[in-house]
Amino acid sequence: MSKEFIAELHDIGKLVDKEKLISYQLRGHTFEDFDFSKYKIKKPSSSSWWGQFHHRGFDKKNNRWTQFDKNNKHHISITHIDINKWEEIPEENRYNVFLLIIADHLASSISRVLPQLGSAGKSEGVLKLWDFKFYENERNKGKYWAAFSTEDDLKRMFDFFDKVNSPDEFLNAYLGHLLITPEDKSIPRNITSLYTHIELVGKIFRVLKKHVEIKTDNNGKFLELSGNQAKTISEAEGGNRTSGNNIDKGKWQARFIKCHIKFPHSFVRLQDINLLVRQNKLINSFVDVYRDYVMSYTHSFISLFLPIGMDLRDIFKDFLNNGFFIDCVETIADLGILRSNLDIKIVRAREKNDNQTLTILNKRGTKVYKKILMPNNVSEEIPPHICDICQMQPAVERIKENIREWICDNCYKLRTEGDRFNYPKEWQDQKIVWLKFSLHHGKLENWMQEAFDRYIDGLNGLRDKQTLKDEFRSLACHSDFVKDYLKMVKGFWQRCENIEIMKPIPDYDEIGACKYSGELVKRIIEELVAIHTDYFPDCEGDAHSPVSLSLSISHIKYPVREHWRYFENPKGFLNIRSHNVFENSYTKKEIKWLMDKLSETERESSHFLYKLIGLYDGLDSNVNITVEILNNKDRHPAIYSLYSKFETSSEKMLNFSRIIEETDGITEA
Amino acid sequence: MELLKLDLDIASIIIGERVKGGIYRPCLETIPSSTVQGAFKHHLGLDLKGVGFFNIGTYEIRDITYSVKDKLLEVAKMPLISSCLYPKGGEKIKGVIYLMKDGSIDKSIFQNLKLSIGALKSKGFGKAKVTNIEEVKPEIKQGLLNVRVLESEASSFGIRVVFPVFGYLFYAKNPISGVYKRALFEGSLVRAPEIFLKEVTFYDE
Repeated sequence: MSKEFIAELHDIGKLVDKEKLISYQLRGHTFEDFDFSKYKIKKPSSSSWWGQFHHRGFDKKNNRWTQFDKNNKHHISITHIDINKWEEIPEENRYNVFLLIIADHLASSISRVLPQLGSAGKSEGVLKLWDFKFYENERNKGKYWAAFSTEDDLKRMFDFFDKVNSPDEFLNAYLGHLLITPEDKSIPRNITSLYTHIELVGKIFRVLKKHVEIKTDNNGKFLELSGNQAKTISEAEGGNRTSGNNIDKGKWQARFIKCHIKFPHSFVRLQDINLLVRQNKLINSFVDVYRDYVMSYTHSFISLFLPIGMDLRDIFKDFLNNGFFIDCVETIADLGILRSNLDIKIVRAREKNDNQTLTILNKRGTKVYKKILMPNNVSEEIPPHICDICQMQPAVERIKENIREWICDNCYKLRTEGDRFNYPKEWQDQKIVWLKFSLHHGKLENWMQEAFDRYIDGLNGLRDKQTLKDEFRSLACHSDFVKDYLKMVKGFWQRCENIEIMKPIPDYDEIGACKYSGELVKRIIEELVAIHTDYFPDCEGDAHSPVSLSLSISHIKYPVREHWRYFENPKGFLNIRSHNVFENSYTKKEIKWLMDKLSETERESSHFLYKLIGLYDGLDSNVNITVEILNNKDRHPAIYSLYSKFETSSEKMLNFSRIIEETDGITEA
Repeated sequence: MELLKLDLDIASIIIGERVKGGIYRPCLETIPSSTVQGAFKHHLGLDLKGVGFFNIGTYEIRDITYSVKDKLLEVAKMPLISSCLYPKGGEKIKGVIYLMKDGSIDKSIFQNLKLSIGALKSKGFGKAKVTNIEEVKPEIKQGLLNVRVLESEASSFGIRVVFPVFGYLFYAKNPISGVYKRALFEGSLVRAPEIFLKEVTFYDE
């Protein structure tokens, strides 16, 4: 039986509970040396079985293939052996195993090939850097990491190799286990879920398979990617370090590209937000077509793994033809060091003039480009009039309700097509709230590195902590975080089912709108804090938080584009703008404090807050404010503690307090 | 590359973003090259090239409502709301204009010069005064552009485009007509005098 090679199956052994199957004397997580005849189990015959051979090595002393042990000086890893000499693997499957191993390296969170850096123990479940108790909570719900704990399970697992028809079938069948099992149980490598790891391995494997050619010369077979030949994995990848003295240039390079989907459009009327519907459709269609190239995505961001030479303009042509532009950062590097956060490392090294790092990266041909792909038809001049919406095309005059507009055909089509979102009648002449969740990918990369650094610092038993920090590969963690963010936003809507918030675009979970009331805004903020705590309890909700919610409050007539403009640069965790009144950002701690203390016990303190604001406006001095708060700390303890703990200004306190407590009378414009 | 740096004090200003439809007009927070050119042409009769921006922290954005009059029919049109920049904390808005240095012009003509910049001048907006003149020789660096400048004029400002973010600026051909010309907008990746950059970058080119 020779079905399609399913790379995802290579780590299925990580779902086996070896301690409950002691009689089988299992070692490692692969089964290439398993004695099937002894246990009267049918050996799998599908090509996917050969994925089990991804940790092989050759024992020079005993002249045989075996499980590779990096501590055994007689062992040579399969990665250093010419593919033509992999005698124990059938020739037709060597190519698959070769690419699988490379994909496995690219999708790991810390390279396994680093020198011995000590041990900090093992962990049964995955540790999410933003939710340390994730596995403990899952255990409390009755879940367990292992999918195979009995003899029957083991037989079922081997049968599965021959029965499974697609990667999705495997991922869906063991989803519950894969999500809570770490890719590597050894601490600190326990930070990536097995699900995301094997999902990424599968994607990268298929991308490589599509672009790598098998060729033959006088010395046998070799593999070629973008015109570069390799016979060993180590030759293809090069060294795996970005620091130290290891300048080992790889023959194969690839690209990791972070793409932000942007548009110049300015929403003139409410129905112009149909552009977001179009953006959503284009992203879904893109992900469908380029599924394996896409490492992670949200409504406005796509990260890609691409071989050299694949034309970015071509793959984004549908976006460009629809007036979107793509702002991307592209990293090109040897496969041995390519990772999603390498761009940041390179840019920082250049900024600091870190010659040691730059020497290694430059000698290995590492590049970071910023590219902005603009639509093709940007002509040099446009005679009046220009489109009010996209501001990039000649427009046609259109008159509605005595208002003259100039709109190009594309934008007009977009305005009139599809389902239209209309404000309910009862919102007329009222103040309304637009809300938007955001995930900032730059902040996420920084937060992830810092969280990993903190994790490493808190562990005992590790020798070279700096090397571990330097060689952190955030791709899988980043992807796990994005998945949790999307779940969090979905969860927010589930929690808000019984309150009157509308989704202007049905499939676009990040945006909402509602009629303003203090009570409703308070509820939204409470739900934000609750859902964020559910999914990201160990990710501080502050200015560095990758996740944020922005609320823009205004009269209903206020143009929607101005709400959108406010949403484009969220400054903190919770950003609130009440049009023409105030604009403030709040941390999660501030919100909790304001909710718990200020609103309950000190409503009568608002006069004191007004006094403080008056003082500040008059004297423009924080010293006077501090003195006044200190003088009144017994009468207004909550204000004192909020000011002393978080340096929250009296204006911020008052604005928050008013925005969650205003009554209907004030909501009318 | 040498530039003339003019420091400005401005009472309040509207540089309308090029959105003609609807009833709300947002205001730009930079001074595009087309606006600078128009202002100096009007006041000094000189065709000068320059760009500028407002110093962050010296202004806040407020809304004003006004009604445009149809001069032909002698009737008021629908009221419009426009955002405008207003001094923060009661002082003047601080702004800067960088002019291409032209050897034939005596810089003293800019001393205490009063200019009107932007829209709704008849309502008192846009009154600016030059408070200081300085010659600067900024370093050329790679970075993200912080100004809006016509693409055709970019090289004269010492701007070399690496990857552009295009938009359009209105270019007056004569007092009654003009065209929208392709321009480099904020966020374009360029090599340019550092003062025109919002962020210095270190990308390969």
